[in-house]
Amino acid sequence: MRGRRLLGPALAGVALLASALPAQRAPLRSGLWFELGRGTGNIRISCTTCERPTSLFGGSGFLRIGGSLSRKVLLSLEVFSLLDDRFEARGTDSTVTLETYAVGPTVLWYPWSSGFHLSAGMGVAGVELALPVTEDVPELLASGTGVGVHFGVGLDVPLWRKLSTSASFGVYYSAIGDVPITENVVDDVISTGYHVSIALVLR
Amino acid sequence: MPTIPRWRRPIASPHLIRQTARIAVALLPLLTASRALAGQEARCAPRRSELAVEETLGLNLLVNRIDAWVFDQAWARVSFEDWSRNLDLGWEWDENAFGTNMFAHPFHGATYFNAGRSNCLSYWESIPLAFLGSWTWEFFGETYRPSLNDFFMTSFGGIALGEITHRVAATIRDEQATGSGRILRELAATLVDPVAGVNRLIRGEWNRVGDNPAEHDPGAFLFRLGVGVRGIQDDTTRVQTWSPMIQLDVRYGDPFTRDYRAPFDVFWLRAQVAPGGGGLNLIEGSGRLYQRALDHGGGTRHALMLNHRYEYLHKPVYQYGAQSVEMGLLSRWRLSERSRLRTRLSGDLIVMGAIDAPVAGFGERTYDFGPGAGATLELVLERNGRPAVTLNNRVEYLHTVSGAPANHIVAFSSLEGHVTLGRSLGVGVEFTGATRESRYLDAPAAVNSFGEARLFLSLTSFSGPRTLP
Repeated sequence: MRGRRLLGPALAGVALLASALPAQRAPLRSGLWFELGRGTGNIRISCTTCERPTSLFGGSGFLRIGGSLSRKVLLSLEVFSLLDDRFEARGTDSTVTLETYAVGPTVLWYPWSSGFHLSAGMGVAGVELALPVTEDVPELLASGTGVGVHFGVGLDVPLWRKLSTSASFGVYYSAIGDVPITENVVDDVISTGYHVSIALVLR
Repeated sequence: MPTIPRWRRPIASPHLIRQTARIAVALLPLLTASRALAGQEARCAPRRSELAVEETLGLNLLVNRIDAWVFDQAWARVSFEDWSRNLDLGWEWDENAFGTNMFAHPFHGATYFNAGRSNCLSYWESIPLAFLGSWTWEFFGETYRPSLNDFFMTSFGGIALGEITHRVAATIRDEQATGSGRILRELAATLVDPVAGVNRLIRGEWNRVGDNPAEHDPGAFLFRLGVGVRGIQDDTTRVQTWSPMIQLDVRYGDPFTRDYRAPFDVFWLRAQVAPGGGGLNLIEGSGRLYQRALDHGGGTRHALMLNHRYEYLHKPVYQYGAQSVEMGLLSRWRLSERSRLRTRLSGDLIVMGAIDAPVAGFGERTYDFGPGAGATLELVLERNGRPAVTLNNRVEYLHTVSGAPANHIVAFSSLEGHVTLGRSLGVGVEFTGATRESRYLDAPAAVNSFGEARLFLSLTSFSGPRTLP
C-alpha cells in the first residue's frame, strides 16, 4: 500500500512533464554526465515452484555515469537498487529487508530532437534478504546473483545551464537462479522490477 | 526499533554499495572509450525511426497471424485473457529444444534488428528494436507465459546475427549492377537479410543504380566453402558418428588493414551442416565492437579489441551455445613477406549461455541456462593472406540460473590445417577436442570428453593484401 500511494503521484508527474514541457533542441547530456535518481517501484519475484509471483513495493534509486556515442546515442554505467525495508517474508515479520539490484552498461537512445529517450542495458543482477544486525542473528539471510537486462523510457527537461531533470520509467528483468534460504532452496528465481523516478542530470 | 523518516532511509545497503563500486571501477574504461566506440557509421539516408518501430511490431503481427491462420497453431490464437495472464504472471523458463532456443530465436531477433538497420538506423540505434520485438512477442505473440531465456536469446543473439546478415547482404548486393545479374544479387541478399530485401523491393531499390554503401566493400574478404566428412565421438560411451559435412567460413574485413569505423566492420563467421549427423551443427560468429591500436603501424601490429560473439554448437554428442562479449589483445607478427602469425588472447563475459550435461535441465529440457565467463588463446599462421594453420584453445565457465544447480566448465582445443592446391582449391583437416566438467550442488560431479575430426575439399575466394612489405 505504501508503494501504491507513491506510485500514483509519480506516474502523474511523469505524464505532466511529458505533456507540459516544450521540446528542446540541444542535447542535455553531452560529454561526461551524471544522473542520480530516486523513486518508487514494484518488484515481482517468481520461481519454478512458485504458483504466483511474490509482489512487493519499495523505494528505488539509481546512479548513471555516462558519455556520448553520438548526438542521439549515449552509453552509461548504471547502478540500480530497489529496497523494501519492511518485507513480510512470512506474513508476520515486517523487519526483513529485501533488496534487488542491477549493475551494468546502459545505452540511451534519443530518437527525436526532444528530451524523450529510450534506454536498454544489461549486467550483474541480484537479490538479498537481510535482517537487522543483532548479537545472535547474522545480517544476511539469503542472496543470489545472476544476470539482468533492463529498458525504459524517459524525458529530460532543462533546469539551469548544465543541470537538468529527468523523469523515467524503467523495467528490470533479472535471472537470479537458485537462492538458498536456511535449509531450503528457491529454484530458478526470476525478478521483475518496475520503477518510476525523478532524477537530476549534471553534465 | 526507532522510527526513521522515509526520506532518510537508505535506498541501498552498504554491501551493495561496496559491490557495485568494485564493478563500476572495472567497467569505467568502457566510458572513456565511449566516444571512440561510436565510430563512423556507414552513410545511409533517410533515417526512418518510426517506420523501423512499426516494422518490428508488424513482423510480430505477421508471424502470429501466419501461425494462427495458415498453420492453425493453437498457441498463436492469443486473446485478451492470455495477454492479461502473461502480464500478471510474468516470466518463466521454457522447456523448448536446444535448436529452437539457441538458433531459431536469435534468427527471429535478427529480423527485428534489421528492421532498424534497413531503415538507416545505426547498429546502436537498432539494439532497442531487438529488445522491443522480443518483448512484445513474448507477452502478446503466444498463449504461453513469456519465457525469459527466449527474451535473452532473441535480443542478444538477434543483434549479432542481425548485424552479420546485414553486412553479408550488403556485400552480395551491387547497387551499380544492372539487368538479371542485379536481380539475382538482390534475391540472394534477401535470403540472407529478408527484412532489408522486402524494404528495398517496396522502395523500388532493386533496380535503382547508385553508390554502394560502405558495408559493401570491407577491404579484405575471405569466403571458403568446404565439403567433406566429419566424425565425432563421445569418449565416455565410445559412440562414433560419421557423416558428410558442408562448412562455410566468412572473414569480413581485416582488423589491421582498416582502422575501426563502426561495430562489426570486421567479423568472422563459421557455419557447418552435417546431413544425417544432426543437420545444422554449428554457427559461430564474432564481430568487433571497438578496437584501439597499440602501435603506429608496420609489419608487427598490436591492438585491444572488444567483440560481440554468438555461438551455437549442436553436435550429436554435446550441445553448447552462448551470447558473449569478448575483450583482449590482438596481434599480427610478420614472419616473411608472404607469411604472418596472428595471435589473440581474450577474456569473455557470457550474457546467457546454454549447456547440456548428464543431470542438467528442467522438465523436458536437457540443458541448463546461465551467465558465465571464459578465456581464449588463438594462433593463426597465414600464408598469402589466407589462414593455413589455426590452433585454438578456449575455456568457458557457466553458472546455472535455470536447470540443475551447477557450475559447468567446458574446454575446447582445435587444430586446423589447410593446404592450397591451386588458385581457389584446397584441402583442409581439423581435429577438435572438448571436455566438460559439471559440478552439481546436489549430485556427484561429471566429466565427459568428446573428439571430432573433419576432412574436406575447399573452394576459397579471397580479396585483400597477400603480402606484407
